Amino acid sequence: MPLRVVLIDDDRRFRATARRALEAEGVEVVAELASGKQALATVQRCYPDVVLVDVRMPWIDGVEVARRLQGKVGTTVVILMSTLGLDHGRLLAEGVAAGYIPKDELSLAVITELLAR
Amino acid sequence: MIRRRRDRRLALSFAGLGAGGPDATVRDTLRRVLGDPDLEIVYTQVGSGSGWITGLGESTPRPDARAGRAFTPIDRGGKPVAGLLHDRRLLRRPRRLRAAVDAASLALDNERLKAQLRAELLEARLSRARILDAGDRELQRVERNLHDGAQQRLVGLSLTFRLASRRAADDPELTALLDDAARELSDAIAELRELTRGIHPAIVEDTGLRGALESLAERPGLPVDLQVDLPERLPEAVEVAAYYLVAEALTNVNKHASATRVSVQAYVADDVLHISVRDDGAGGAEPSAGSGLQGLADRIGALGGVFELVSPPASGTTVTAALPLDQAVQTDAEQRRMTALRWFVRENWDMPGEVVDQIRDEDNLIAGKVMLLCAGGNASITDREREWLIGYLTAARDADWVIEAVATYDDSDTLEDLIQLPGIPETRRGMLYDSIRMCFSDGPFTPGELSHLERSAAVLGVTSDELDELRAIVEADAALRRRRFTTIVTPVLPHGTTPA
Repeated sequence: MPLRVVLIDDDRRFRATARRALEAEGVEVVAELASGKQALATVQRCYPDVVLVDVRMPWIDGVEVARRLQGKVGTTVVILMSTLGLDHGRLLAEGVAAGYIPKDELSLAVITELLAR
Repeated sequence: MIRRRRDRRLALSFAGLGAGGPDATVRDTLRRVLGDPDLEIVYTQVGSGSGWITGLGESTPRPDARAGRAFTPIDRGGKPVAGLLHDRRLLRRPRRLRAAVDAASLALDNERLKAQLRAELLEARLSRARILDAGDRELQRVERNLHDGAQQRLVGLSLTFRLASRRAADDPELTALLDDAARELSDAIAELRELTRGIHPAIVEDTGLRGALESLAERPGLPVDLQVDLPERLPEAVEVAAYYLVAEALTNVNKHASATRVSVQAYVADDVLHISVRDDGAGGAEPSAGSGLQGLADRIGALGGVFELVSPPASGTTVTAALPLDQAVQTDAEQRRMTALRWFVRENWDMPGEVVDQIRDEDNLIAGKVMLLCAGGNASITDREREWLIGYLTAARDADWVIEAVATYDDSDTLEDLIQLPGIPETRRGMLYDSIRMCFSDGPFTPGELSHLERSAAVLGVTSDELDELRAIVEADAALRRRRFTTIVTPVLPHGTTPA
């Protein structure tokens, strides 16, 4: 069964690239969102394994999206991603998300490693 | 005869001032001779005639007579130069008051000049801090642009290279080329990340000083013994200055000090942030002109802080800074926002404008949620009511993220929980009142709205009599607004137009 992922990022071009890269590794991107507004409704509709959410977005940032999903999405795991450094991202993820992935390291292997923790 | 002798004693008291007598200031002398321990003196600014300053040179509104206090202006050639705020009872002894002011005349002139000098120094410091702040904001903008632009494009490219390398698996030469390119790109991304971190430390903004220091301590280099006891957030300018200080000091330790241990300490005492970085290395460090440490000393000075470098040869280096948390520096936009906010609380609540200084974004978010939940939540209100609420929060200059969070709020808290939060019980009548206004904004109350409001009032501990009074106020206000409409708007609109 492929890993099912929801991708949230306000940058359309990055969403397209990330989708292509993940799909090439057999990941199924079940939904793409340009903002966190519809995150909860989408997750409750699609039941993905993972939500990948960009940290820096206008209006509602990734940390707030993760906070809103906390405890409401069953076994779905929320992972933050950004171009920020690993130390910075990990601090942001503390207590609200399962972890942080620098965008340039985004891959099925890195996601699986985070899920295994 | 007795009076004349007393006047002479007064004159002698003030004569002691110029000679640095036991009373350090003219204020203390006036307090003593007039028997008013709370007496205060304010001065008009030299050359401006309008603004008032305290003896410390801080701007102050012209003091008005308040409960039990009276204000006596002191003029020179018909122009106000100073004023005393004193016990009202002294007005019953005008001659004594006059005599004290006359005797203090010369000393007051001196004090006024000193106050003026202090005011100018203060203004110079504030002006340095404003320049620094404007520079920081510009750098923050550059950092954002790099993050949203170049960095984002490069990470996209990096993923594409990896994808291409997978696809080229049958062609080892091409794969090697693509992997090389991907590695080069990774290095470029890492360098750009370092560069943007140096331009503006976004980590401070995102995680506060504590998180930012933890991240510094975890970076490669000598292990850092971190002792941090800090509140969640401090003024942004203070956090940024402290972060830069520790970052620069740690860089120096790793580069030059040949140290085996380094410790970072940060704590707040008496509204001052104390921060120190101590190593056991070679010592002998000096902040030369143009060096990172000198730049930091300037930054700390601009914030009214103190910077110290102790680095005797062969005895380690200690860099310390003390930064006052009270940073009155505001950009023009912030000043306008505060003016708007003060106007808002006065106009809406007849409260002193100063209360806005104590309101945080998080408080506004909770208030927005409570207003919504009192009316049954986002799920129950009409579009018109939501528009009223969002307009209201926007007019109150709430932060964008707060407004967005309220607009998309999923009603997931309970009033019972929210009312427990600190500071909320005191404002429950105000929030209920606003909720009533919101419900009334699209016409008379519906039975559903009334039942929500009644239930909410009970949860908030507002009696049904109080709820009735709040409703009556909203309805009476609506009647007054109709009168205003009839008088002001109706005459200029086509016949029959009704209020919006």
